[in-house]
Amino acid sequence: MKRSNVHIDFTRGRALISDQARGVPARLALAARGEPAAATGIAWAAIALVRLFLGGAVGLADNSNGHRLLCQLGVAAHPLAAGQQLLSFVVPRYDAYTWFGEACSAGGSGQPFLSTEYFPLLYAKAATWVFGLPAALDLRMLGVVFALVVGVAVGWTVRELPGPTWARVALSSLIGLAAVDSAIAPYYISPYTQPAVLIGLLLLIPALLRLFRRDRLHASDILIVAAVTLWTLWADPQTWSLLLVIVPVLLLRPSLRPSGRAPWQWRFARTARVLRAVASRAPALAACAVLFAASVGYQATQSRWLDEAARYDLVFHGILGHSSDVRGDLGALRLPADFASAAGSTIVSQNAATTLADYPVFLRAASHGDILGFYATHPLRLFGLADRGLDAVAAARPTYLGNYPADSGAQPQQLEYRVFVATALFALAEPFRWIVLPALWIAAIAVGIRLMRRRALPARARGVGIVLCAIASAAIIQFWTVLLGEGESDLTMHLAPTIFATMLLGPLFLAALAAADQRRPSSFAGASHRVPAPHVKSAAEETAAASAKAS
Amino acid sequence: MTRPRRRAALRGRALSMLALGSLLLSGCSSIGFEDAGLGVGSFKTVWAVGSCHRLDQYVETDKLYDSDTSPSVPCTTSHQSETFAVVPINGAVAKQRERPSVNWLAQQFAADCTTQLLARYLGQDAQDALRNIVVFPVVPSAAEWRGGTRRLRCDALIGPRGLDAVATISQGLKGILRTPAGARFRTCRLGYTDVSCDSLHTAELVYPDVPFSQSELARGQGYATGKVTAACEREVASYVGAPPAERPDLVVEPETPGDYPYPDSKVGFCWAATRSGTMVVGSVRRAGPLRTAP
Repeated sequence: MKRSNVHIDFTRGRALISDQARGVPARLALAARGEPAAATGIAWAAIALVRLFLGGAVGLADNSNGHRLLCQLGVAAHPLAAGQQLLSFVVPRYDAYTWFGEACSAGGSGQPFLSTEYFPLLYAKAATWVFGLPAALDLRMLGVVFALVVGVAVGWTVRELPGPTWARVALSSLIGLAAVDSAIAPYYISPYTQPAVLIGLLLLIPALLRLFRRDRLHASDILIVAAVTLWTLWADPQTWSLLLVIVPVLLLRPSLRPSGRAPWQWRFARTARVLRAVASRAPALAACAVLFAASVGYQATQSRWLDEAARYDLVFHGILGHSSDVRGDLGALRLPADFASAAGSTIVSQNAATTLADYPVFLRAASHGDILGFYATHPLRLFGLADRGLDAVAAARPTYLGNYPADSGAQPQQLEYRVFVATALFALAEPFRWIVLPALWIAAIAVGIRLMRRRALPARARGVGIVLCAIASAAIIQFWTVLLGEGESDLTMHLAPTIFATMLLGPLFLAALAAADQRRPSSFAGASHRVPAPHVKSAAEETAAASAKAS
Repeated sequence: MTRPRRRAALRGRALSMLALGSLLLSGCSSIGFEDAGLGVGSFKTVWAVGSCHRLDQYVETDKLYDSDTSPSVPCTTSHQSETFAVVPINGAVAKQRERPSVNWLAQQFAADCTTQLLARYLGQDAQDALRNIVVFPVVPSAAEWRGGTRRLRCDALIGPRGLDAVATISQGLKGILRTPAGARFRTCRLGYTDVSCDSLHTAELVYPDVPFSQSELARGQGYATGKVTAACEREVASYVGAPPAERPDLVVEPETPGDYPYPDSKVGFCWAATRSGTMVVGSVRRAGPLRTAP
């Protein structure tokens, strides 16, 4: 058999294929061997495209929240077929439309609904035009955009994970598998902000791995993590809680080498140590300050209407709807007793408190602080709240929204199960959700902390521990942020970041186990790692050195 | 300090400056967020009675979107709503500096934008059973409210409206019920399905309904039929503007409480039906001046 003449420069990590290499598959295989990150990324982008489009596009139907985001692109949903229900089918087609006044504000509040999801949508709109599709915006193009981003994220993770190539490819592929699971992928063809949040979480993994590949953080890596975090913070109002994870993570390791000691440091050694630690983290501190300011600025733009809807749900649905003493709870919240008739209602229910004359009292009196205060004085109620939250996490996906377009021949509200590994595991865990989910989160944090404290491991391996810990913490904090800040309507959809972060813990656990086996590389050159024998100067050498010094 | 270290220190300072700059810039850019993401231009509410408006998208008439969202258009062009009254906003709600919650404002709508005002504008009297037209209140935009505007615009919104289709009209609504064009806003039925009178139908609803007390409801079907028939003959004659003898094409069709398709109904209804179930288009309502309700 004749062998093709191929030269691969492995030292540069790049395959140089001669003209004599035959066939595209052979070239691709060789290129993949030289660039495993790129090859894995391309493969997962292809897998994401196939799972989204092969056999007809799948996505997530609009629950009427899509308007506030998509209207900003000057489009309106294509009219439904006669008799078709909004929740039943995905409507990928959007027609050009000019909105005036507050028609494009968040819930008619006159305040904008800002999200970084706007930018992928812009690409999707441009792609719709490029491909000549019969719409101003075809959400299927958004699926293409996110499939490519999934590929980038998986490929980047291959590049940043420590360990042998096969392990990096395998672990990154497991992350890719979670990203294309049937509980996650339908969001990629949907009018919601969730895909921007999910992609932000996905990109945060390689960004953090890159950041922690050294004992001293590089400012450029800090900027990358800050950029990914900023993307996620500005994707959806509820993701502010990511700051609680990212700030300590960024400050975990120093980045600058402090300058020489000043004399006063000897007198105030402890203060000096703190100051040196702070000074060595100046870039990270600056990044944290920017992220904090950006998050505060973003929250300040949020619609009063959405806040009112969330508070209504927290009080009337969350607290009163699950109360055995409605009047007592109303008293604790300092709300009028006639609100008892609205217990369990949503803001659009027939018996909503909005129709009562006392409703303005609720608007004035029931702040988020009051609601947190209620749970602080009624801590046992948190168990019920947590149970409903865990139930929503175990459900993994909103089951009332169809995944297929109307012309696909699918039943109304039919769900797709093209990739259902994580979905199936969540379904199996559902009866034991009180054990499995908290145990998984706590175990991930424990393993992550243990790994990051093993000084014998290289910085990169300990970094995997930090990432595991960060993602698990993000899952928990996001869980409680939603339950205590967003209310219980559409809980599974609001908890999508928690669900995805929980799915990512599996691959990250394995990555942590693989990283725990690594050894810190020797600081001496040479294959044998032997310490060279000290050189002892001879008497003649000593004499020659002394005379040279004297001259 | 060696050169690489100095370079690293410089790079660190440069990046810190960049981060600080970003911080300042992010603060500045948040000021500009106010206008981002909203509809185009500096749109102002039109406060003129008789102005017509395009509301092509179903979402524009969602309960939440309660301010003006479309420039007014000539009423002879395609549109979906028309202003029939402009009333002041008073009371506690008017004292709020920021425009209050739509839910709070909605309590105000019910009191101020009344169906009586709409009826007067459309030329409706007590015998006209309306369909496909509702009161749609419009509040000042958030910016107008901050500027001191405290007015409520009462629009008549035509239907049917849905996510699949939105009905339009190309003429003014003032006094429309006194014209044949008003048939699209009258209630008729084809078989047992309620339709508007500008489509094929076999009977037309004549108001007012015939009320029954609890004791009357218990007196049986014979009594109910007699009571509704007696009331309906009078109402239908008045509605069509001629005694039954002069309209042999019509028969009075009484609907007693509990009749199909409304088994829970506690009142009777009067239908002016075509004899032998002939399907017709248009209203049998007499033309001419309004008649006050009895």
